[in-house]
Amino acid sequence: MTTMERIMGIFDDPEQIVRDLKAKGKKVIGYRCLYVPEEIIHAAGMLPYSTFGTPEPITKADSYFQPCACEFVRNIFDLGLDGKFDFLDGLVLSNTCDAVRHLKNMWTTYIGSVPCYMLNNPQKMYDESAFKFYRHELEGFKKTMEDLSGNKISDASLRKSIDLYDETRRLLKELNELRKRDVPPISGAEALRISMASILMPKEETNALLLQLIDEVKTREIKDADGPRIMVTGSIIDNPTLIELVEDMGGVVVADDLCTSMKYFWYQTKPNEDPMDAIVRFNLERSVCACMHPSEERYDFLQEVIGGFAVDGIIYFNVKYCHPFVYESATFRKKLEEETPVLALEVDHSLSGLGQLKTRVQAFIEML
Amino acid sequence: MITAGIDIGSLTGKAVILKDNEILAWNLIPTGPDSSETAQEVTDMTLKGAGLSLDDMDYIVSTGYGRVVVPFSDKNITEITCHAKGAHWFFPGVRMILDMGGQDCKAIRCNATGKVTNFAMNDKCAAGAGRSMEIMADLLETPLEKMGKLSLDIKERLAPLSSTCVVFARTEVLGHLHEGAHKNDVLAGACEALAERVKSLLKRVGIEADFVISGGIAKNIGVVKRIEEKMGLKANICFEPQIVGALGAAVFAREILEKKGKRKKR
Ligand code: SF4
Ligand code: SF4
Repeated sequence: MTTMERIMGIFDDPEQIVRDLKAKGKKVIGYRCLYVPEEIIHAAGMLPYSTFGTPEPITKADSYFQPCACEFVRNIFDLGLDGKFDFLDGLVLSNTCDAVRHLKNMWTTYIGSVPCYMLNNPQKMYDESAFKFYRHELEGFKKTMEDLSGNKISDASLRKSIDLYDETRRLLKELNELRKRDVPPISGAEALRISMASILMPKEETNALLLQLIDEVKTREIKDADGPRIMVTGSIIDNPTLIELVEDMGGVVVADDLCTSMKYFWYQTKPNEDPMDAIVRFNLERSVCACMHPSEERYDFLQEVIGGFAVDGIIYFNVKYCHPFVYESATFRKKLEEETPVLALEVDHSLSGLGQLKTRVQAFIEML
Repeated sequence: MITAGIDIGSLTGKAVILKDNEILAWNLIPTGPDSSETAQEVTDMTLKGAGLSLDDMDYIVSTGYGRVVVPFSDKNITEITCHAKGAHWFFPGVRMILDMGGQDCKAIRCNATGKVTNFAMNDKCAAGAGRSMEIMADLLETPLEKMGKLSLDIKERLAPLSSTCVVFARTEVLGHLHEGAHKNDVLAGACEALAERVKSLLKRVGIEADFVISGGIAKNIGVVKRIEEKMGLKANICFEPQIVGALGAAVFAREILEKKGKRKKR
């Protein structure tokens, strides 16, 4: 079996990881959002496990949430109600938007099987009072994780966890840099699968696999690389179907701006004596989310990617009804369009109605 | 060089056969439940009209929402790209196209060569498209072809229909009729509402003065006049606005062949 095949296998059945570890008595903590520091969960001897959604229509959650609430959040709540996350020993959410705040309330009241924690995070970056506030929140979070696991988190162990995660980010970035080539070695859909599997796996394993994978794909070339080079962006895209749609229509997805992929690994922590401070600054000195201010830096990140990966066109997949990203795309779009054509699409998290999207995507690619 | 363009839309299927740069034959028929059959049928009819067979075609491009199910096409291209191409063939100066089809409505901008530079689409529902006009015509027991003309002969100016959704619009129309409004006035309200919606769609891509309307609704003088009024522009409409997409597809077929420099063996 090639390393690529192994990683694809993990993507297809991510819970295999959990089953094995749980059998060995390890605790697994679900989390949603880039602003939940996995390193702290890991340093407490537990496995941080990103809760991705599934492309299923919303059912019960519609009785608990307004229909205008983000579909991703409703989908996660549905899965929770159905017991699909019962294997978790806890769920950590980050206080980024109204939809997630409501999810926390509903989860705590109606899903007793998995305790839910909310980690507050400032929405302002580069700000001394935000650093202070966040530090206080993280100390509380660290304590919660210590209590939950029964393990103390020392500076040394936290340092080790940070190094481990930095290495994952570094390797993923190295792999994805290969997509800058005229003929990328991996397709956009493959890249998303690799990232998502890497996010889910224990990082000790991820890092070993990524090292092999980079070696394996170095000389590879994807088949259809004649089309325009596309960057995909938008709110939570946790399913490669949308990327596949773009690639089926002749686009070559070379880069993205997704929490499930490039935004996860683009930045690393900076050297810092104090590991807690390293995490504080990591999260408040990198601009990866539309929920954070100021947003200019995120725009710079997009520009860096557009230039670096020689992007010909940008496709926004806005999941209904993610307010932070809809606002952001409205303001960014005009600026981006001055240099690079943009197609903004509204999508269902359940991926219904893809037929209509196809025509727009195909026409956009024909236009480029 | 003989090429064909097949446009399978939600309500009608169209075919155009081009010999070099000249239209040899064209046809349009209602789309049946099976889009491939519709494609076959309209193509056969058109071939017959030209006295040709499928084997004589050097290249075939399909378009429209049924573009992928045309079994004998060599390539499929979206209707957005094809409408710009077709409109440019009829009116070489065109920079903005409004295609009002059966199920959706598209605003397209193009450059001097007919290449799309921007587009916007209303495909959420049938509102603002041919289907909604059919429903109105039915409701008011007016033949579709006469609807536009009648809507210009009004007694009293009613507010444009306010409902975006066709189902609600029905209720609104019935309300007007119960209040004794004249049929023509209600028709006018429906055309007015459609024109209003179209205008905002065009604004999204950026207004240009050289303007073409294609698709079935281009035949509805009531809608066209109102769009022209609202925009302060004169619309160019070709002799058969419903074949613009199919023609664009046939032109693409020719260009693809020319680029390849050789004929395709069938
Ligand atoms: S988009 Fe923002 S809030 Fe959502 S998961 Fe990513 S970082 Fe968190
Ligand atoms: S997708 Fe948007 S609305 Fe939904 S949780 Fe993420 S940031 Fe909030």
